[in-house]
Amino acid sequence: MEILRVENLNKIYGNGESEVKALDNVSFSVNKGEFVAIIGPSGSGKSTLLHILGGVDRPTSGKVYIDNTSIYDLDETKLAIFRRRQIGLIYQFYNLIPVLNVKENIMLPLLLDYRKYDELQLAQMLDTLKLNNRAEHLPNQLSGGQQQRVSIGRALINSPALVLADEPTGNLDSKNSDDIMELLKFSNKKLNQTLILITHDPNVAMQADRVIEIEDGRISKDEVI
Amino acid sequence: MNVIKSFTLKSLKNNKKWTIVTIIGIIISTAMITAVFTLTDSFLDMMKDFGIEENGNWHAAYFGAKLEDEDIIKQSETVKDYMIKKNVGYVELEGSQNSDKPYLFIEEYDDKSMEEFPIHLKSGRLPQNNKEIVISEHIEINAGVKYNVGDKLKLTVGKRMLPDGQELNQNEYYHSQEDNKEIAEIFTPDLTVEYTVVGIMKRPEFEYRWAPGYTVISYFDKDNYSPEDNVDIYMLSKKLDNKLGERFSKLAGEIGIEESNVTYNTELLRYYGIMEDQEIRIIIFTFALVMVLIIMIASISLIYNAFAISVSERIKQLGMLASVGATKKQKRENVYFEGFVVGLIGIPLGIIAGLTGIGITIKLVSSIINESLNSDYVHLQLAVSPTAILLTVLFAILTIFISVYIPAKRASKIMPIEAIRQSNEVKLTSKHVKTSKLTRMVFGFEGELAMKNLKRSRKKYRATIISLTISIVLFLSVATVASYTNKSADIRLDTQNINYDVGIMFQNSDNEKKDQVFDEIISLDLVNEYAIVSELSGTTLVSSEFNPEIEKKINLEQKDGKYMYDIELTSIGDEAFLEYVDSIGGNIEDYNDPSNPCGILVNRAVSYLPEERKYVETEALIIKEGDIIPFGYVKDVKGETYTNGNVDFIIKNITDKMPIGTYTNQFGKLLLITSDTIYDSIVKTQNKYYPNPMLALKTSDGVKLDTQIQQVFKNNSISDGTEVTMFNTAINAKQQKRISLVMGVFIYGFITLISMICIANIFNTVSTNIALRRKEFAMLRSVGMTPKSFNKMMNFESAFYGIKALLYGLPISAAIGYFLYRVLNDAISFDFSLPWKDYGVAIVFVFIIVSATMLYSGSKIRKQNIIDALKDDSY
Repeated sequence: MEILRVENLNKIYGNGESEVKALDNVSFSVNKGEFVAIIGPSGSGKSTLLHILGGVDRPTSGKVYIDNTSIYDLDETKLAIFRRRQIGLIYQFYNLIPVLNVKENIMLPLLLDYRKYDELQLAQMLDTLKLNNRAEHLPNQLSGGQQQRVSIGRALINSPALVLADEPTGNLDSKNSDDIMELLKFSNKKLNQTLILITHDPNVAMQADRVIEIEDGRISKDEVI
Repeated sequence: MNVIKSFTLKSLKNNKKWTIVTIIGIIISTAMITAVFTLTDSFLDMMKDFGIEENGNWHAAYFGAKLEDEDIIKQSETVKDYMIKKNVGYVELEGSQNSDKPYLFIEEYDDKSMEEFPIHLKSGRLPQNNKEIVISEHIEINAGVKYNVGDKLKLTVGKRMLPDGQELNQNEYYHSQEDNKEIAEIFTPDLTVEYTVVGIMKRPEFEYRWAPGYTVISYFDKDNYSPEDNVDIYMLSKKLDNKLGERFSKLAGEIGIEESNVTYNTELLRYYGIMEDQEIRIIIFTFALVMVLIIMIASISLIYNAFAISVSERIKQLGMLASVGATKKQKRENVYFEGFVVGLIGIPLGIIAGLTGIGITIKLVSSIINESLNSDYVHLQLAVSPTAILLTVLFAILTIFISVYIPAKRASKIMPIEAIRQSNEVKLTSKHVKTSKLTRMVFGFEGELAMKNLKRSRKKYRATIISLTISIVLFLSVATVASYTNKSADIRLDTQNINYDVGIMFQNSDNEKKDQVFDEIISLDLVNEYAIVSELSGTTLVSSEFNPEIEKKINLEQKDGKYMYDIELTSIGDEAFLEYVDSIGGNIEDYNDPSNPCGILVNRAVSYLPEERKYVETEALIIKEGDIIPFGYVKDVKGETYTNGNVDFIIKNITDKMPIGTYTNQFGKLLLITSDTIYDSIVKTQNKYYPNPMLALKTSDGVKLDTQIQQVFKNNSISDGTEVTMFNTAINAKQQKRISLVMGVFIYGFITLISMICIANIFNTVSTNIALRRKEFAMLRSVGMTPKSFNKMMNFESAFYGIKALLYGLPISAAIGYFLYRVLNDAISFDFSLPWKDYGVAIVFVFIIVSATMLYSGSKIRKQNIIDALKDDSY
């Protein structure tokens, strides 16, 4: 089942002589439960692509359909609500809210939605993230690996249509990187969570079902492993 | 330019908003300090002009010096300049209608004296030799003797002598035969001179009101005198300081002038802060200093915050500088240089703005002020002194330095590692940001988040709250002072206890135009009621049975077991008296016989009870109709009081109704009303002069009546102010209103500017506070916070800021208000109250300013691309 479809995506920064084409007519689609790794050199446009998929940046032209919704046809408010319900974003630098504790950071999308949450589900999530004894801590009291686990929890808590991760292990040592990858793979295999991930690390890319390579804003390779 | 300085300049250019707001803050505060100092200077200048207008422009004088002393004085280090006056003597003025002023007093002035003494010619010119004179117009107006320019007068000049051989001067009143034969003065003629009148001047201010001679000025020519001749020398001091008196005493000693013949122009010197009576100067300076202090508190709060923000924003930059080897001193200088640059731009602009502002303000209000000054020669005008500008620069630099000191110190301590660790403000724990469950229930998740945000950065939060609180307190304190000042002015007007609208009095009781003018005024349509009130003061002894209980608290003077009361025998004119007697149910026939004097006692009195701190109104006496009160006429001769005989008054009527033109008396003073017939007979037997009567009027339109009366004066060629004085409640109220207006301009101008500094401060702190958190906001949006939620969170944050600041600011302001009330209440008593309207304004404004700033900064962030904000690590 197709969960994501990208049609003729273009993103141009600047204009005139300083014009830079970050994305050049990109089209592809992703099925539900797929684990896709996006690779490519620095400045190839892969982060831009991921951000546009996540609804936090706007394309110059082209369409993005998530679960059959053309997300850039939504107004600002509807897009924000869509983001918190259907998209989970994981950044390289965690980006947690410093005044909220682990529990609250994980539940942030639910809290913004004023939705009741399931204590059992939360406990299971903390358990999975190995953060049981850190639930009341603030982000600055956690290590980098722990913080990244919190941000993964935040991305997964809503069981969104799409989880997007921008070099989630780029800032971590190998032990922590392995833990994070285990978690992501776990969510992909056991929970059938669709996952798109940017990486520089060939070992990480090898663990994906499909690898898309981007060069100069274009898909140069798209292969299933 | 070294690298650190160019670095600083670049960051100033990059942070345009910060730089502009900070410079504007400095401009406003410098402008305000300039305004305060310049205004102080202008007022002091005006006061000095008053002093000069009264006594002349001199500092010290030697009376009875010798002409040859001139050389010593000329060479003295003490004296900057000097002038010579020569007392020629008195001339008996034939036909003077003022029996207290029977002389002309001739003095010779040298050129310099003519310049420095306030001589205002009305016609003609100043004398150029010792045979020419300028005379005071008062001779015609007051004495009724008319001389014209060009008249030649043969005058016999002489001295005024007491029987014991003492010579009298202008300072001593006329000792007449009628007062006391034993000490009456004698005129001893010296020589006869022919003078030509070349000019007529206004009555000079320095001629005492009790002076026995009208001022006549001739020209002093040194060549007419020998070195041993006596002259009066008036001097200006080189240095104006507290040793001035000492120096002139010393110089007097060298010349051989007795201390008793040395005089100082205290009227003028007190405005230079010299001589004992410095009260006015101290009041003015204290006032100015308090103003400057308030301005400095507001400005320091703004500039300190601005620099603290700037330093914390540039931690990374400074850390980078440190990592490449910048010393502590260099890092500190980085911040000081920043202060120097904004000061260099802000202070000169501030001084220009301040001078322009206060110049325009003075110009706008000067017509109102000058009118209330009541002088043709003294005006309030802008005075710009180098001292004032220097002081302003000094205070402005001090303000900036104090503000920059701590941030600079902090900057010097920044280590390279902090550049990397960046966002580690304080180690945050969950306890710091704990909020109660209630918060989420009441305000929702956005409210909770807002609350946590405030609790997070306590330091920044505190800085904002403190600046807000200071703003509130300053605004409300100034507003409170303004309301108290207005209130006490109102009270002063109320307590004047006046039951008429217009009062007119001739300077001289025997002015021949008096009756004519009074008649014309009385016949004006606008006059509803009138009385011609004449009062004769006396004393009476009242036996104790008449005296009410209140006496025990007042303690009147006793004599022979009786109580001594002052008594005011009053007539109000035939027509008014007839009406008055009718209105109290009396019989006019009772008051027709001077040989059987009868009176009406107004039996009410007001007493102040110091222990109970209040006024009470009581009966003046326990008395019944038919009782007798003796009236004793009082004469004051050389400080001793004589009571000349008694007239027994039969009290035919007792009332508490006051005729118009009379005042409620203090306890211990009686008001006895009688007919003109009886009053006149008593005056005739007891006193040579008629006391000066006042025409009291009631009208429905005081302002319109004023113009009509002025017309009457003009028709009779009478000059208001010199020949006749007029009191008009409506005009006074109008003037009072205009003075309030001027006060309002200054007070509300001050409040507005202070508020602007405060607003700049709030804007700076709140907007940077938000800019610092843009990454976080981007994060929240990326997780799916809607614009509405975002605004809700911002609104909560502003509300919490406002509430917290008000929670501190309102009680502090109220406490200061109460303190101010206690201080002012010692002078004038009124009930304690706070200016609630201004409190309301403050509350509304706090919320408006905070939320406007928040929404402004918030909207900029909302418009920003989420990814750009997340990537941006400039903060």
